[in-house]
Amino acid sequence: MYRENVGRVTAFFSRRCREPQQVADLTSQTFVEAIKSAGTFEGRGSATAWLIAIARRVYAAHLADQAAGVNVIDRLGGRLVLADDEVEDLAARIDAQRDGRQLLERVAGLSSVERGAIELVDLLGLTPRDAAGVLGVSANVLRVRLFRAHQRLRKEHADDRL
Amino acid sequence: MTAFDDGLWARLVDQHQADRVALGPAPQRGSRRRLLVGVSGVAVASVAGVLAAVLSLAGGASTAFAGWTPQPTKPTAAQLATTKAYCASKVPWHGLPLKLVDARGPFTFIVYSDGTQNDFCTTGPAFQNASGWQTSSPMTVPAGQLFLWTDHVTADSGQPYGTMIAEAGADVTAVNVTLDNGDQVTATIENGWVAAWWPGAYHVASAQLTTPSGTRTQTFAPYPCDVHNCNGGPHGGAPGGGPGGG
Repeated sequence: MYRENVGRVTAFFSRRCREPQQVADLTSQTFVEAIKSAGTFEGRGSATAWLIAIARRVYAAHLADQAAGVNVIDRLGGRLVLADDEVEDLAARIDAQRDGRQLLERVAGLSSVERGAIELVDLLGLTPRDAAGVLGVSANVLRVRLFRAHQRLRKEHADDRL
Repeated sequence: MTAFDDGLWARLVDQHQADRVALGPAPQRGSRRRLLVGVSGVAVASVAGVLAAVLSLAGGASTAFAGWTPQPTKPTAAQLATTKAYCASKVPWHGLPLKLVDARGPFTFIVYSDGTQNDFCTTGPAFQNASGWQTSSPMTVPAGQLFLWTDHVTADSGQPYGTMIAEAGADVTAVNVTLDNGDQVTATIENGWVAAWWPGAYHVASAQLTTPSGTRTQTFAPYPCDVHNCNGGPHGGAPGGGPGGG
């Protein structure tokens, strides 16, 4: 599961952070959280969806810490000391997420469910059902919101071309 | 797998036994198959192998905290030396001043800090871990208060335990912690730092603080709001921008 998902989790944070160390720490923290709460996984959605839900919580806590002026490296797993090739690796991944970052910026005006649906389904490749589980809405609601989000993006794109 | 992926996996295995962790609740009537969280580079474990690993963790859990005491004890010289040696090699920042040693039977918990970089580590018969955090500036805690840095439940031993680390106002001389299950633990307080830990998945509910002018009880918001900024206010929700939890 680690091998299948570490790229997705790293990409999730690479769309939000530009510092390799920060991406590394948040990715590490997500997996440490996952290890420590492995017993709570109920198997109702995919393991990927479960991990991304943890990543969203880790990022929210990270933002809360930042807002409080506290730079908590990791209450769980300690800071990763990165080798040069790891820093280069992560820098390349952050660069590779440029399009994803731009897409998230474009959808910033949408509702949180619509933004989440776009990222989870279109960028991360989750099924609508799994994405709905992550966002805490029904699968039907998610499909409707995703459809609307696509419509709005298409309209904005068409407007931009006029 | 890239350099980062491999490095992170090695660390997760080394520090958190990631290759021995299984997803899902305990199997019921043998009908539910667990998923392996990690895939070791050696081989994909069979279902029997996975279950054996899970059972080995559970088997160690019953005695994981044997010897733990709710009141701090005096560590032996050898116990302290072992913990210091482990910490020296595992903490995120090396060479920080020692601030606190909390011993409870065979378990030793140490906090190091220079005011902005902070390490803590634990050793005991069944588990050990090390971690740390960093702050933008040193904390000055008002008199008669605690500032709660962490209130965390982990399961390095296969069985959960909670840890709290705080800084105390200069006049605080003793701290008794009440957990959210009602249990009480006497914290260690040294050099303005306060630490305690306890078996079980419980969080800090309140702390009775002893000062020269008497005792007072500081109540904390339910976890995670005791250490996270849940309401957009200051850390821990304390009024006026002060330390959290009050």
